[in-house]
Amino acid sequence: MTLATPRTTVLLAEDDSEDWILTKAAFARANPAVQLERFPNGLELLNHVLRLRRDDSMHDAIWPGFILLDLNMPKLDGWEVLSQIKSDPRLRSIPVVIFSTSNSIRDVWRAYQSGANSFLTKPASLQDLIQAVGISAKYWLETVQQPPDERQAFLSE
Amino acid sequence: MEYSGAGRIRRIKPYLHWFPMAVGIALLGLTVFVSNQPLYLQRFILASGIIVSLLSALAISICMIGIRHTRSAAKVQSELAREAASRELSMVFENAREGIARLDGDGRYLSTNQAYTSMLGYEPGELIGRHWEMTVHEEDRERIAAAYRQMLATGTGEAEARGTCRDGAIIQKHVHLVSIGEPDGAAHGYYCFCRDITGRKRAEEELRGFNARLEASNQDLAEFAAAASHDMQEPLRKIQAFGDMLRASCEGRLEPEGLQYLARMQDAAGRMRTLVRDLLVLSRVTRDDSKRVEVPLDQTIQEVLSDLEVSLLQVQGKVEIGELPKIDADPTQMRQLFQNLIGNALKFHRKGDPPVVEISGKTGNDGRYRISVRDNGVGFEEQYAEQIFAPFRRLHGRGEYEGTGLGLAVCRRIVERHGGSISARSLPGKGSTFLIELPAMPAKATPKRGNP
Repeated sequence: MTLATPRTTVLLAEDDSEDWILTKAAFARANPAVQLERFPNGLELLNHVLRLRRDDSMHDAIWPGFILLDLNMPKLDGWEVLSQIKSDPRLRSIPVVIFSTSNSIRDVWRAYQSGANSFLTKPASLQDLIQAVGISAKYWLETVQQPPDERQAFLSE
Repeated sequence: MEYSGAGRIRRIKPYLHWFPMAVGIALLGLTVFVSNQPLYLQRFILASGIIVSLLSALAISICMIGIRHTRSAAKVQSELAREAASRELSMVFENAREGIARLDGDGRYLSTNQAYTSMLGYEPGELIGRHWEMTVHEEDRERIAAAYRQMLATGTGEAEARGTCRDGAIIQKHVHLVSIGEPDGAAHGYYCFCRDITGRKRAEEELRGFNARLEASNQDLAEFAAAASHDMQEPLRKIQAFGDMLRASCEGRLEPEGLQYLARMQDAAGRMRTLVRDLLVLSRVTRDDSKRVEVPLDQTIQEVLSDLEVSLLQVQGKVEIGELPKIDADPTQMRQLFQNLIGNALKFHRKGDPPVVEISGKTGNDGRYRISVRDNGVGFEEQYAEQIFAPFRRLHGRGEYEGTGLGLAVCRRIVERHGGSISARSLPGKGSTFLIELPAMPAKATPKRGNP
């Protein structure tokens, strides 16, 4: 199997506009090729991935390479989004990286229990933020193998 | 003593009535034997025989009367004693603070003392002949019945139940049943010892209520502290991050002066973040006895030293650990305590003089632990020995030594939450010694035995 076209889309659920500006700037500096799509709350992000799942005409490049998920959000919080994505057979394999200001052991434990693939605590300095998103992008988009097409993999079962 | 003479006579008593008969027979034989003697001798022997037998009969009678007399005296004595004991018993019965009642095998009152009737609001004697069920709350009668069955099996039975007073009021009582007959003697009566525990029960309930409220308020406070610290750190994080952005994007367009202002701004934001974080640490030092376990302090300090490895290497410091006791404490807090103390000792070392920290401890005769942490650092004036434990209190400028001034406040709070005390002794340039005193392990509360 060869790796399909490298995915470049990253979904970001983030209600805080300042954090959105900072994260966007960090991605621009760390990896300008990344297509960052922002959703101001959990509900909009979830609706987006559910729409992707239904749409068979969608081509592979738009399928998200990973999701950056804030925990504290209005409407639908990160916990709910995480559990819905991880309980859906078609969406389950999208890597979900928790991206929160929390560094509480309890939150970290709960996140991995609920199926999160990584837990990132938002760094204080821009330098650390650039490094964190750069490493994440490099790892999930360029280093690891991901199933070539979620929908096809599911249909061929 | 007076019984011993009578006792000796009693021992030979069965043979006493043979004595005059033996004397008579002996005299009769003697009369036959002396019949060929002169008449005056015969008469003398006969007369003396009669006198001897009369005297001996008299002596025997006197003895018998004596015995009977001492016997009846003893009888009177024991009757008096029995009466006195019974009087004493009824004194105790009547005046006991504990309610005492005697019941027959059917569960009806035969007698009750003052405490018993007044506890339930009855007149003395009013309960006699009534059944116990009328003095116990309907829903709790089975408890008493169970105690009764236990009493039949083992001789005693206990229960806590609600009692119904004459006016319908409800009291909480503790009942102890004691069988009068042998165990398993079903038809026997029994004693009921009864205590009014309404006050104790109410106090217990109140205490439970207070505890629950205290726990809830502690929980609220901890949640508030966590939320406040999180929300306060958020804007600070952004000040720092946007400062970084400003520097990165406008570096060429800012004058050196402007860059310096920016650096100061970010530095201040960073300090504030540390402060908020340390305050959160301080607010989290609460007393939670459930977290107490046996903590081997030498192991705790080894862990702290491996955390401090980098700073130890930087200052070429040495930590000497003497004998240390195992203590009953919250292990996380103990670690924090020694982390702060050793960290301070390393931080406040004299320039060009590698720090040496000595830690030792012992258990005193009174069971209290005394632990000392001594260093050879810069020390301080004795007059500040108390102030240094106050939150935000710093003896040095930020330029000299960094820190928020909360480290020793955290130490004091930890030690006090363990029921102990911490003090400091020092002289400028001569190092400082921190003395910690902690109480002996408190006896673990044994779980309360439930009543049948």
